[in-house]
Amino acid sequence: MAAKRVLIVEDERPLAHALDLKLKHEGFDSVVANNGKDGLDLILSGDFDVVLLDMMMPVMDGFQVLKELQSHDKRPVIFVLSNLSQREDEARVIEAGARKYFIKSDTPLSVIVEEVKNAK
Amino acid sequence: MEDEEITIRVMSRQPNSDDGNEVIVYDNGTILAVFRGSQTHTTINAVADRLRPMAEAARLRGQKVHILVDVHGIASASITSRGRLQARALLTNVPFDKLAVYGRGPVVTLIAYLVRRTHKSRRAQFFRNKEKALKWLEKTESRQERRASLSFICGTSVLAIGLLTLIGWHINNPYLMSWIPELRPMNPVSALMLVLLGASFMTYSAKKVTQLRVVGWITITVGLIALSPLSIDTLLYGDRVMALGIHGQIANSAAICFIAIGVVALVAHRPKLRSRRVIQAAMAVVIGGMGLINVFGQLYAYEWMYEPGTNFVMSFNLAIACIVMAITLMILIAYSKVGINALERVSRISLLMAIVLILMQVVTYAAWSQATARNTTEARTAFEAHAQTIENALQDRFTMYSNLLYGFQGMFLASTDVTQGEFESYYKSVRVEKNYPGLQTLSFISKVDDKGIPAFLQKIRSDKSLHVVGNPNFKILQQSKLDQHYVITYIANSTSPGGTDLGSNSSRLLAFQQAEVKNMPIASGSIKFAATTTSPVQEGFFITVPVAYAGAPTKVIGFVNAVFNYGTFFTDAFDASRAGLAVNIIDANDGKSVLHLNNTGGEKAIFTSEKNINVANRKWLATVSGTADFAKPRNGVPLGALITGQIFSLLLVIIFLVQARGRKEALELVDAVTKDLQKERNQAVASDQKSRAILSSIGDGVFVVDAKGIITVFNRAAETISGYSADEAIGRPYGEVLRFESEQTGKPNTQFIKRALGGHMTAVVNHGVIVRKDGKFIPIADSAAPIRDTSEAVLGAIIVFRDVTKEYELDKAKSEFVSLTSHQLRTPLSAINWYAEMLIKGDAGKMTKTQDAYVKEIFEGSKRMGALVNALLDVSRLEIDKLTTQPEPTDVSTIITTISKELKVVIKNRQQTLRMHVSDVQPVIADPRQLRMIVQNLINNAVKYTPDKGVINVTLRKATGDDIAQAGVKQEEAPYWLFSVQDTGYGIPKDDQSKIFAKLFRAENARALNVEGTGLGLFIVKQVVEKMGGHVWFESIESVGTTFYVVAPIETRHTDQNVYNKGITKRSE
Repeated sequence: MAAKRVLIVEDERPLAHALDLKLKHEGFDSVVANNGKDGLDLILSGDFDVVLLDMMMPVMDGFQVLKELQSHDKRPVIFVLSNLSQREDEARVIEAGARKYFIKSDTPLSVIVEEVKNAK
Repeated sequence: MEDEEITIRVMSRQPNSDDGNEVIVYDNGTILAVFRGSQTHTTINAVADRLRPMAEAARLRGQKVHILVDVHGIASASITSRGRLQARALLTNVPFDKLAVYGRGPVVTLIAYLVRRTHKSRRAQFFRNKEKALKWLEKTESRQERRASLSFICGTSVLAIGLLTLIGWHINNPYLMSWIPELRPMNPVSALMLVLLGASFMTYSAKKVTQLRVVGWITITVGLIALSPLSIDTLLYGDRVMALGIHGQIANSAAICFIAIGVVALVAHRPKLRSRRVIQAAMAVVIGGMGLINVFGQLYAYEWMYEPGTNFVMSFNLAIACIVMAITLMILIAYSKVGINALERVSRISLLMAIVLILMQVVTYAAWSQATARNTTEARTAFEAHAQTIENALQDRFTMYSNLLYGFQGMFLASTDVTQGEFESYYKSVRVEKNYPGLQTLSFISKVDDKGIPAFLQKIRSDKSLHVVGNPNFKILQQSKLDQHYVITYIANSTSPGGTDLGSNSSRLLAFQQAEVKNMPIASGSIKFAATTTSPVQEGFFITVPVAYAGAPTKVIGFVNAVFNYGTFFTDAFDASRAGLAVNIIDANDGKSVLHLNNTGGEKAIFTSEKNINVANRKWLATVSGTADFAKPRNGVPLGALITGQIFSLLLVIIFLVQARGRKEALELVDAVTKDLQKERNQAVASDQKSRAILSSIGDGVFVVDAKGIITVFNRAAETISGYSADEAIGRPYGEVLRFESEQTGKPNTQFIKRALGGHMTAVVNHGVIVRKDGKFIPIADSAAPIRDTSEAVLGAIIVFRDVTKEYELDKAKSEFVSLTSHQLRTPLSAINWYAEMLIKGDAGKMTKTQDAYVKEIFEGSKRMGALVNALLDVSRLEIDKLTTQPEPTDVSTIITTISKELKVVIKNRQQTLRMHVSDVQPVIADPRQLRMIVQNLINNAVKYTPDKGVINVTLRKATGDDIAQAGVKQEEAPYWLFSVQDTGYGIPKDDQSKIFAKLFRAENARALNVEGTGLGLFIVKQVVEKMGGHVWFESIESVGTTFYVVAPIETRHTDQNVYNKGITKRSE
């Protein structure tokens, strides 16, 4: 079985790098996109199993990405990783098609890895 | 007869500063409403509001309500349709007796139209000028005229009484002269005085005082002369007055009354004379008193009033005139002081009273006279019985004496030769003195003719039947020259020798002749008895019976004569000592008095019975009279009726006085209350203006609705916020004007107003938006409070709302700032956390032990920093909570489960036991995140501050009454839930317990144990719980454990404060 393809959409390079490192370390095939637009393009063109999506990003934010993806049949599992902590954000995101919402500062990498592993 | 200059004074003036209208109340009760300039329904309403209480108060005082409406100053076309409605309501709702409208033009036409519509047209008039209007209003109402009319009525009555009496004298009609013919008539001079007085009262009513003065002097003079020995009684109809004797004169009481009336007339209309009222009152009492004494005296006991020799009693009609004058005077005096129209004050109740009193008197008199009549009838019957007894006695006595005489006649008839001895013994045998009282003498008269005289003398002289020697000296004395002689032969029981020829006396002779002719007992006319040594000359009569032998013609040999003294004839015949009895008997033939018995003691006889007693061919006329003594033993019903009637009358008067007093007090009270109301009203108007000024200056929108939800107050800020003017809003249901909506749902959101009208207060909260007139949505914060009266009834509600656009924006900015700040803080934290995590996991190669320890410190520190950021975020959110609270039905047990799962690893690591006691609690309507804050912080704390292997009990259930009481929360609508977390931890030191909920406070032992914490958790819990309307508290023993309790309502107070979150969220992304 080929390694899961994970797209990391994150404008904060240190965080994107940390996620990339960890996922690769854990044996996933991870790709980083530095803004929402790139991320969306990659999702639409590439064949990703899981997307780790930030919310606040230049060019196109995570919510817009989710909105764009709503009309597509074939969608990867999307986990939103954000540092916005309002409950409404979480609700909106889940409504827009994300599987889960994580506050980055409160979520250990291990939890994310676990989620990615289990994502189907 | 009091009169004062009447000037209409202004009692109160109420200008309305807003519209220039004015309401003026004059002291004569007229209310003037002046309308000026442009009128709207509000200004008309304001005037009506002031008119109504005044009119009602005047009504209560019994005054007529006269309203003068001055529309002179109204700009003609300025009354709106609502104004017209209001004017119509004014005409309908303000009670009035007369309404005069002064002004001109279409406004008047309009009012005339309205008046027609209100069915009061007859009481309303329209005038071009004010004077005419006022004149119409005062037409029949002025006090002067009323007072004058009272004088006029009095004058007319007095004049009529006097004039009728004079006419009576002229045509000699007793009914006109004295009304009751048995009573004394009014002296014609008195009648003339009445005419003069009446006329002067009438001219006085036309304000001519001179006549009254002149008549006053005349009256006094006449009164004084009448009382003095001088006499003017016979000035008019002198002969007939003289003929009446004392009863024709001017009575003393009448003279006193004249003087009193004269005094009243002289002091009338002398305002400078201070004591005039006292004098008039005293005179009124004198006049009235005299009148009453005379009326009652004559009605009930006029015999007493006619005590011979007194000239006190005045005639009945004069007495009535006096009473009329006294009553008039008293009314004028009594009510001129009050300053209110005299006749007006003679209220219906007093009129009714007077009528009842008069009826009472009539009934009393009727009862009295009925009873008296019955008694009189009974007395008459008694008297007549007595009179009959007397008659019978007389008749019996005649019969008795006739029988006695027949007895003697028989004796003489039986024997032709009756001796003196036989006569004497027979006389003794019948025991005359015992059986026939009153008999003076019984004698035998022999009838002897001239030829028979010697034989007759021989026979008598030789009669030795009684005297041994016979009667040798017997001779005929006073022998008449007639050929027949009637010689007294035997005189029973007497030493008198007899022998007198009675034929010498014509009246005796007549009796004998009649007796002889008729052959029956005949009574003689009056005869005189010669004086004796023991008695003076006496009068009497005799009854004679002829002794006649049968044959044709009969042969009369003599007569048996019984002689009686008038004085003794009736001895023992009847009860002559009977009091009140007078018996007068005269001999009808010769007019001589037979009997004169008078036991009346000078009293007037009221019963008389005349009888002809026809005995022994003689006519006697017996007149029996009886005085009231015959009525005396009768029952006391008339007196009882009189006393009862008068007591009832007195009671009625007392009731009336009490009533009048009560009425006076009530009127005073009404006056006082009216004044108070007026004052309060003035104050209210002042404070209303103040309130309006304050309301206008308030920056918040304020409006007031009444209990039906109709807007009654609408301030300037409310106008600005809503876009509606006060005029548009006031008078309409709030729902029609103000659209309070929930921004999220777009549904009307007026629950808070309904709650306020239901008596509940709603504190300032954000409820939603108000839809402006132009359709724009304005976010507002509002509160509503019920308005209650003193009896706690809800009169309405006051609603304060505020445009919170700016706050909203500020809060939004704050919220965004907090969001961004926390986001920005978290990003580096995330980096630290993740890289540290990878290092610790050995993703970057195995570290030395020391490196590993260091990196772990960094990791832990960073995690603490994260927790701190979260807590701070919560705190700042709480502080701008109104924009962030989003209640929804939330299952607390789910939150507990989630939290316990999150803490599972930690609990397991520390070998702690977490026991859940979660019972079925209905979803709590609250912000789930806030609920989570509570649960998370409390359980987290328990875990943190409980040593390894400790036990944590988490409980969720419905709160019992005890729980609620312990929490000290007020139980309102919804039930409460209880959440508690019990641990076997370190406990909170006593010294720290009071500060445990303070922001950033951490207990000393917690810090000493080096347990990580922000000092914000419990602060957050307390804030959240209290915002929900609940309470959090704890029980803690150091080193034993702590239990935290939370009690909060299932339904948090402000269920619909859910407005802006969405918008803010949108903007904050």
